[in-house]
Amino acid sequence: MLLDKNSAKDKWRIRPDGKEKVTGSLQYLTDMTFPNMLVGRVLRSEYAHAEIKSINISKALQVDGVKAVLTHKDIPGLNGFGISNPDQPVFCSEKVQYEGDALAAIAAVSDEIAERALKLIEVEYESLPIVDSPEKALEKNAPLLHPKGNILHETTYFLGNMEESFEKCTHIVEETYETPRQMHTYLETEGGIFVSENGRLMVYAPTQHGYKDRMQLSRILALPEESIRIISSPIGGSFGGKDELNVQPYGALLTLACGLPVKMHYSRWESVVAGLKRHPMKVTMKTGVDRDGKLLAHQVRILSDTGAYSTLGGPVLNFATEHSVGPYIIPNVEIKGKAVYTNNGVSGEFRGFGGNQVIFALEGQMDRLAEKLGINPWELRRRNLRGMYDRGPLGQRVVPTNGALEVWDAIRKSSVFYKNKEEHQPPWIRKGIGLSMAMHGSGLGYGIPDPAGGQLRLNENGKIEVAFGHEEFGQGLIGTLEILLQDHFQCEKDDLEIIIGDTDKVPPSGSSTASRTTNMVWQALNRLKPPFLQAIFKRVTQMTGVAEKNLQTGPGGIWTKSEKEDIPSLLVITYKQLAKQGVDDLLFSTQFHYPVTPDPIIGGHYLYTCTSVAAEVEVNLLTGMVKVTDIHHTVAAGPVINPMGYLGQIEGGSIMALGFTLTEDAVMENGRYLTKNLDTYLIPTIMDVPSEQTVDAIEELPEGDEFGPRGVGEVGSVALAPAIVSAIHDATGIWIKKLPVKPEKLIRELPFLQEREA
Amino acid sequence: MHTQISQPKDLQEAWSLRQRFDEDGCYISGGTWLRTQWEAKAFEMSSQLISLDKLLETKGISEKEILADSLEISIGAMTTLAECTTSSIIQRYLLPLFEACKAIAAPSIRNQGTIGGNILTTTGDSITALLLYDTKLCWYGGKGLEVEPLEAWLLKRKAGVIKKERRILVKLQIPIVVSEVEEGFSFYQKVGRREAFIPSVVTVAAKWISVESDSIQSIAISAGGGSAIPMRLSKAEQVLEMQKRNKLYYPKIQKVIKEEYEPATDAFASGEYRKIMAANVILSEFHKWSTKS
Amino acid sequence: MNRKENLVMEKGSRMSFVLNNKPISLHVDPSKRLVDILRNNLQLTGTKISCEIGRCGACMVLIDGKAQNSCLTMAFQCEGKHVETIEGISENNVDPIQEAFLEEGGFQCGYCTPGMVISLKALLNENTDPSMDDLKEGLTGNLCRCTGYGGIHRVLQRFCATEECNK
Repeated sequence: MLLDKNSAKDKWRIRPDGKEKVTGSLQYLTDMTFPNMLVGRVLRSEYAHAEIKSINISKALQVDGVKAVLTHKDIPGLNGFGISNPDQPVFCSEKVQYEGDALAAIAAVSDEIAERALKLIEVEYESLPIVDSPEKALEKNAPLLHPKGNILHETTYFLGNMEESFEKCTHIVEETYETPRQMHTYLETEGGIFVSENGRLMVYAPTQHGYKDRMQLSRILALPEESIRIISSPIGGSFGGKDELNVQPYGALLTLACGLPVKMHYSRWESVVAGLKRHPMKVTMKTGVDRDGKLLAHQVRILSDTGAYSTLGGPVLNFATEHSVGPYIIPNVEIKGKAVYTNNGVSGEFRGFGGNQVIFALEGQMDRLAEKLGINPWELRRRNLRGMYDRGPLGQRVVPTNGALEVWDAIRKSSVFYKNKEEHQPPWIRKGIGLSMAMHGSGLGYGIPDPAGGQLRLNENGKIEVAFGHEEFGQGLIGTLEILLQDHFQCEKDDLEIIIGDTDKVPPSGSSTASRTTNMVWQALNRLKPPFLQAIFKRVTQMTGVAEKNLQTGPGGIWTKSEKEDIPSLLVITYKQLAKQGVDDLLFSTQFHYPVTPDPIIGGHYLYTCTSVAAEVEVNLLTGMVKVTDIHHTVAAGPVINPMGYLGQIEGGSIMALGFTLTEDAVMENGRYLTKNLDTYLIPTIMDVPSEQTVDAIEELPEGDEFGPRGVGEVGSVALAPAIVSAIHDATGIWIKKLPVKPEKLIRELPFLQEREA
Repeated sequence: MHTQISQPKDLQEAWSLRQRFDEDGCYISGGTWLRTQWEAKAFEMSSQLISLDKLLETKGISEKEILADSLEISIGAMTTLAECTTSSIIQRYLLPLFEACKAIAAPSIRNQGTIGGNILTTTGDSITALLLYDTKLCWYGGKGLEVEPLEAWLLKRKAGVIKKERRILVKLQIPIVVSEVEEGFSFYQKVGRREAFIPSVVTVAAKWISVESDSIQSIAISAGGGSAIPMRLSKAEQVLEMQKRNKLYYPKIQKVIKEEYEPATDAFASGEYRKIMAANVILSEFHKWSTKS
Repeated sequence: MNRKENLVMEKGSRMSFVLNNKPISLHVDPSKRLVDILRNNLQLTGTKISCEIGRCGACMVLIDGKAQNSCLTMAFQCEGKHVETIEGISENNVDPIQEAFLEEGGFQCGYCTPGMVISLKALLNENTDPSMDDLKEGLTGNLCRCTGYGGIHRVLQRFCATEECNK
């Protein structure tokens, strides 16, 4: 189904949080103020790598208006954070490992005073050699960045026999692909407000997982988790970047030290320097086919720059490892991956989670092999495509999916192929079309706790209330919940109350990440609905005598079921009346685990979505600049619950990938960012994107599938880069292997003097 | 230390304040560029900002007839870039400048930023367009208006003879031969790393007339981009002058442009790439012109 | 009047301008950024803050009807002018521009949205028959990271006066 307003019909809904957003009345957490609020600021390192000889805060403490100056000595608990491995110090004590490292934090009555006091903190450093690339980190005599060595994580996967199988190949392509240090560039930079009241710590700061923040903060502050309350939505964009702690440890420590509310809000510059980025990767692939175009052998090496600390560098590498086989059946595979510490900025979670990098490489291999074979690259893919019941990329059992074949087939109907290539263009404009595809796992994968859960009740105000520990960072969770609940209960919007983003009010639901949320709330509601209805109907029967089997929920309350069309349903009791009789026994909660493959492959995924993308480009040979003029997506992710949200996720993910392909790179030199703001770090403007993208949603799932709608938060961002690069090749004959595409690779001298290619 | 703002009402007052504040003083027009420098900590906000907002002499766009066929166009330094893009005088007589102003930053910045400010950065895109003409800068330095050719001032800045400008840029004077504008040709092209709201990587502009037998005459070509101070490409002009439209030998002109153009170089684009691009873009315009029936 | 006094504005000078159609007078540092005055002094937080160098458009306001970045505007530059923020635009009813953003899915996280609305408002103030290119040009100073401009293009289609958009 071509997804748009018309095809969505009455499911195209104005977002519940919409009016507040367009009128500016929505208070983001960084918009809040409290009486007597202080400003918190962090002192960052002057070096990318240095020993700390001393830190002297005495002058800063003397500044009028400064209420606290904290260093590593002031941390009651663990001086470290990190979702999977807490090796990033809150405050450095012995050495600094990157430009964003924190040494101290200040709370003061104004930003100006805090800024002045920051300059008065005296830190003596002794500089150390800077390890500014994974290659340097792996050298024999490289400075040791972490006690256990410079390798954070390694992956290996073997299937069949490499050497023998390469001998049998008719064609082999070997290439190294490089991807940029992409920045999330959420418009709302990291920030929040921290308040200590009645022995409890209130944290108003965006995150993708409130309970995880609570756990991490309790570890740092040496406080019981229950004494911390995390309020975390609404969020001005995250894309994975705010899943990890950022301002929280500093704000929390400062407010506990001064007893006054503390507000932190990073400047863009600080956000760039301290914030996470997408892992830059070098992916070397050697891939061979026989003369019929059957893939025989695939050897992969991944080198990932995880930066100074772990955060999710290990899981991202696991994901990259798994996705470097893609939707193809290859009998002989060898993958070796390394995530390596450097003195660069910290890399971490980012939409696509390591898939984007290897999919760019893998699809590039397919196109190059097709060229060698002299066959259509899309045909080459078909010959190697997985079927409905094939195992997953690492040999694990996966939920049956025909998605790969479906998206392969659907994109061929895209209007991109029916355009006239030779419009009236000057001779230096070359047009090209490219295709690519991918499959993308959702959920955290085997061996990683991936709990989900939710709560459904009739509340005291007579509202059907749901509570989830998920977050709204723009993706449309609240809208999706509203649609699901109205579908389940046939009620009005006003009959609903949706609660998210507050650890005092919601059950643990796991992180809002890994394209898992839609699926998890769908499953949770399916589990909660039957007992909830049963309890309500039982009560109504007791009160009114109407038999349970004749009851249904509807607008405003419980109605009779009418069996014949001409007999109207009657309102039996309103939700409000029902609530007056007590609500304690009308509360239901559920806890369950994200579906996981039975095969013990760490990080291996069970649920997959598939996508294919067609892109059309214009390459200007005078300048080497590439303009993407058309993008078509097909996505096989099961039923569409919230069409506006679904479309928005694919369109938005896609343009983020367009930036990844053409302009975005947080450039570092000697461990320092050169791109400190949005004047040099370039995300697409409205002029850089095609005026329309089409999204074809394939909603059918194999018969008997009980897993329902898959999330689409990431899948729109994973496959565009190789399609653009393929289109560039179609236009110019040049293969790009490093992103973002450098126009210098495509420019031609006096291109109007050359004969046009036939 | 807090910044004080002065809003002098005439040039003399502004000048004497600047003298009095000495190293602590800084003129400010729209302030859009200064703010980026302060935020990037390139330099600190001065403790004494002298706003040129109230100086009537620095405002407005006008034309004055000099001879039958010549005009002098005057553009106040405090004219906003947005005003330049809606001026019928600029659109009619100074098309490359019109195009340049339309492609600077974004609408909101153009509402605030001024052409004088753009020139005083020494790398602004308006300069590349203005260099095509005998543009003169009119300065106030304490006693009457001093008139200085734009190109001469740029050369001094490039050589480091003047580091900080103390004089007030009052206006630009641009002489125009009306018939040349009406019958002549011109272009302005800017290429950045994305499609919009982007500093230039390469900016080029040219104007010429073509009279008898389609030969090029009175040609002016200029080029800038990035952190490069824009310059006239005089050697390329010499090679093109009097060339016949249908007999342009591109490789030779390309060679001259590449030798003459002094591009910036940074982490995003090499000098060699910029040279190739400058030559490509300039010559593609001549190619378009020469192949037009 | 003493000329000197008129000449120099000290810290905490009284600034007067019209904000959302109401005259306002404040004691602020004349070099203070308008975005800080709006957000911190007046709690008008619909105007957002993001890049602080005029490159994202999240802090866009109307000054005398024209779009201007409030992070690039200092207090003294507002003296005597009409400043309108997203709160002013939303005062009475939802503007047709806002309605279009709501109905077309022109936003997700919403952080760029007030700025987008302001820029479009400014453009439509000046140009009553805009083409699609005019409309897009009007939003080049506003970055959106969530939508990929898909929904925003649909919003612009509604305001486009030329034939290309009447499909």
